[in-house]
Amino acid sequence: MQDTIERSIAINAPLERVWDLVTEPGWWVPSDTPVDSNRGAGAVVVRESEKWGRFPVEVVEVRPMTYAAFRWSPTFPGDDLAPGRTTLIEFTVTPTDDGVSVSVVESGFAKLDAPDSVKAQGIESNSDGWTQQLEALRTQAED
Amino acid sequence: MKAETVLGALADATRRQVLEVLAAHPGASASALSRQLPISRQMVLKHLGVLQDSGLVRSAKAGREVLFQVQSAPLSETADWLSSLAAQWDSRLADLKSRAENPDVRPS
Repeated sequence: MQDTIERSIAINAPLERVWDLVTEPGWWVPSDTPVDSNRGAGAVVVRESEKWGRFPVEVVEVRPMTYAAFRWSPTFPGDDLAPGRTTLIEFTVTPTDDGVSVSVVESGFAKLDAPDSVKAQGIESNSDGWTQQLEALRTQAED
Repeated sequence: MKAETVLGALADATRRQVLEVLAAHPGASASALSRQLPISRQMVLKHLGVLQDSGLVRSAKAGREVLFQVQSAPLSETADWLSSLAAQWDSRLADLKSRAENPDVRPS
């Protein structure tokens, strides 16, 4: 199972307009208030909405008109960005006959710390029918 | 106990192999598994430990032995989760397309 998600879409609009939209840090997560964002590498912009929560987004790298990469914490809303808690989102914009193609690659899921819900569950090592199954197996094997 | 994510557990190629061999041999011991793999029983146990931490494997004692079995629910849950994330991206990209192609329409 890959720890990467890749999707793309064709857009019939000028490259400049698409680039402007794609390079707004956190454009993919709702914000209740307009955010005047610094778009340079290293900038951290906070997107916040009552419905979805608070998401800091860091600008990682920008190559004009081609590529923009960001980092955020999809599984830890409200937290500040920290190692083990972020994924990398990379957008690539490519001109096509009809406009542009935008592709997104989100990666790093394998390195994410387990969210609190997983930790709370714990792992049960003893069980129910499993032990009986094993006993049956053992009995069979010893025949 | 350290909680491990399914994807984190599967990030190691040898560990994936251990899981595959175990899936083909439910109820195997670490010794039995190491006979099917190019690694020592100790390494098998180490990988099984990580797999257990992620919920992909469980163990039970049978007499003096410890036997292992794959639990598939976390795998399908993780696959479903990744699918839903991909669908989220499709939705966001569709929204982006709409905004790019209709700049005069006020966003909802």
